[in-house]
Amino acid sequence: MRNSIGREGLDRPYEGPFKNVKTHAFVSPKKDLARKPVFSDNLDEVLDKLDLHDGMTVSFHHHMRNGDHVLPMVMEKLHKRGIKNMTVAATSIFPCHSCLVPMFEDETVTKVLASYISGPVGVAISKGKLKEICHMTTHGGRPRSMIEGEVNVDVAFIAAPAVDANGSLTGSEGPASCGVLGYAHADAETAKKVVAITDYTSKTVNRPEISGHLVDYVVKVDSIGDPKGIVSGTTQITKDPVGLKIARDAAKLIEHSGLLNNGMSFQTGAGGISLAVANELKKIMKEKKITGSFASGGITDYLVNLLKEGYFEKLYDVQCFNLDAVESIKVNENHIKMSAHTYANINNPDNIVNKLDVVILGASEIDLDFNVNVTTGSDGIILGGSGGHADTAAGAKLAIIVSKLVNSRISCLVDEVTTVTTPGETVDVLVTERGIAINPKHKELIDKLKEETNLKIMEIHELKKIADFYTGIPEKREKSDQIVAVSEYRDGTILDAIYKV
Amino acid sequence: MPGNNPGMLTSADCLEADSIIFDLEDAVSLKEKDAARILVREALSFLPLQGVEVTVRVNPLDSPYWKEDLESIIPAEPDGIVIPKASVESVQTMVKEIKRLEEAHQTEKKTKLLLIIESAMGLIDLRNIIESSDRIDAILLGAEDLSSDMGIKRTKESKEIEYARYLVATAARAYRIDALDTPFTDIDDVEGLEADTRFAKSIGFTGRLAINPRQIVTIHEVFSPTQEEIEEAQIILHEAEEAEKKGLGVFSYKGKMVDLPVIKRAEQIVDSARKWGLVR
Amino acid sequence: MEIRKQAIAGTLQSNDCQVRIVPGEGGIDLSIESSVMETFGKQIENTIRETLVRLGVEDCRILVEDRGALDYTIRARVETAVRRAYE
Repeated sequence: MRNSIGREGLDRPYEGPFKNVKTHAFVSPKKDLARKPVFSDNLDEVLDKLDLHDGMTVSFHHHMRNGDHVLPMVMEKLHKRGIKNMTVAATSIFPCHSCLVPMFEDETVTKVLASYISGPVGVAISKGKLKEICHMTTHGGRPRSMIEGEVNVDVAFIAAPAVDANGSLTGSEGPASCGVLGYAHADAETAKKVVAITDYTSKTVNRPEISGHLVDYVVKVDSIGDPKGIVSGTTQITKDPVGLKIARDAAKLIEHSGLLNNGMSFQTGAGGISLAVANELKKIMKEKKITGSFASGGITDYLVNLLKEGYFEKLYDVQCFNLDAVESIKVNENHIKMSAHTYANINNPDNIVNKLDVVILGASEIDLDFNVNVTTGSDGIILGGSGGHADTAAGAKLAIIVSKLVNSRISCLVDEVTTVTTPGETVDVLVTERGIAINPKHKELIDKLKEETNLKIMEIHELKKIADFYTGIPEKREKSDQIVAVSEYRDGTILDAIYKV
Repeated sequence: MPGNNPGMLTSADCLEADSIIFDLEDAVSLKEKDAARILVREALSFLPLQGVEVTVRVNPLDSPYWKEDLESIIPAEPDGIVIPKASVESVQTMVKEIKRLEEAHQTEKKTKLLLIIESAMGLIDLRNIIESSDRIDAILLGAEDLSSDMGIKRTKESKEIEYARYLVATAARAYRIDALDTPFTDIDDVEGLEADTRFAKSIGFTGRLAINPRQIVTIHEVFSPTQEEIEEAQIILHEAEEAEKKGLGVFSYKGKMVDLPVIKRAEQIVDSARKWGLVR
Repeated sequence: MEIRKQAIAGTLQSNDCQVRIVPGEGGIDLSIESSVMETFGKQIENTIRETLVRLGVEDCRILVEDRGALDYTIRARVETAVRRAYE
């Protein structure tokens, strides 16, 4: 059935960004606080002890990003044991997880839940190789679905860079240190069985984050991942002069929005232009002597430096994007670890995204209703996913998309996005090199900016006309009927369907 | 920017420059001179390039390319032609050809000239060069080629081009045309660029060439009037209006005499402030 | 204009296209490979053919490898290749 934005909503259509908010208390798992896990150095022996069965759900986190060894290691073993029809709930999937593709083909794995998918697995799902519909949700939607019992994990496999004598897990120590284990908390708290996989144990560890009483087994292996893989596909400030101009304009817009004051909170995506905006803001904050309250999200060295230099009081970190961030979280008490639930669960009234003033995000496509697609390319193939995109856009007072309008004859502005990842109701501004479009509901902001600045503010339709002039009007791509995946909103409703390519 | 690079030509008006130069000369290899002039011609005809002055640097008179460059470009009506290694002969020869082409193609625009002074003879013959055409809008100092012509070393401190800088700035002012200073070649040295550009401004240059878009913001900051300058200029203009109503020719402001030159300078400041969006 | 010899123009960089042209055996034999084939393939073909007509080219084999060039760039590169093949 159609949902409120006119897209396919299946049996749980999206109704609006805050139409389905419930309050659920912080989950207190029913495990005795005095419990300690069983330590082993033989993964097969531990697997023997678990109730592995066809149709089970297993979960993983992606803090090791494209350097992850744990998902491939575990899935190969489960595959060998002939288990079928498994659901894999991985917070994100990268090219290093390509071992899953043959497992789709022989129905070892028949369902996938993730917030981000890139590489061969995304292509395989787009081509219809996965038996069941894949659910792509948000970073905040995942803990919600586990806490509410929509997703029931049989065994959570948690890659843990360091484990202490009580079985408590941390991300900020160990040879494969990844900084923080923000995405693994919900798994540890709700899964029937929790298996921590580590390559480093020590009596005590730096800043433990997941309590040992939640863990059933700790398995020591040779290596859980390659730390060099953590720095994958993200994070250098753009050097492109067009990108820098977009960044300057975005910073100027923020300056005149009335939000650039002491105590401001801020988040940026990991793209080159987004980081450049942070850099421009820093210059303005320096000039006006403004100190922000916090910066949040996936943390890069850039934000770490802003913290060190006193531009923000705190960093709230759900994921470290590079090794400087990993170093900082070890030692800086103002660099705070947070779980995905704390970060972005819509049903957590105190979540961090609700406290955000400004978020800077990218877009692969954006349409005339301000809907944003970061899940599929314009060819329809899955190569991304919301991650925290939909969460931050909804929570932040000002959600700004920064993107080049036209590049290599591809316009980011389209009539209708291929897939809705983030609904236009939550997107406030689009800044491009040829003009800025502001969501019409912000009439006061539009007037203020036109009055006070030289920024080229225009209707989004005008901006599209400009893009069409440069590229010509594109032919529409044929969409098939077969649904291979859905774009699920933070509250569990369905925003859009993703079709077979 | 290099005339043979389509990506750069397309986004030329997104860089916040006041004026752009599509280059057919040094930034284009000999093998690609033909490709560049055709691409620039097509770019000029298609791209809206709003809010920016669009000029094309053709090849010099002593090259086999300049004539075809003009033949290709003039019908596409650029705002200006940049003549390298300017001399009386090169200006007169090229202007003749430009006029012929404008006539033949019935162009609406009469293209301006920007001359690059980059030889010793160019410097000492400056008056004659500027007087050789009424279309000259600006002179640009090309210190790299100039020092090469002089047989001297080009340095960052730029003491060796001091005479050239003073001469170009002064001559331009005498003829009421723009003077653009030579590029600052260390792209990574933002502070050096700022200091050097302040010096250029202080001796009368009205702008500067940027060889990398990153330099544009700094150059603008230096050449933009400050808030105080703008406010003072606005007050002077207001006082001037009042004085005129009372029938006074000159008046004093802050103890100094305000006569026509001072008023004109105030007008210039307010105009450029408006142009750069510093006042509404 | 006649195509008398082989010629190449343009590059494979983003926003550009590379045009290879050789004498033909009657008619225009056009192959296009583009990073935006699905959305702009037809338009790219039209632009190329229009340019060839404007230049009076009736026989050639032409291969265009496009990396997202706008129409003005395609026109320019085709014309450059044709002129180089004519000299």
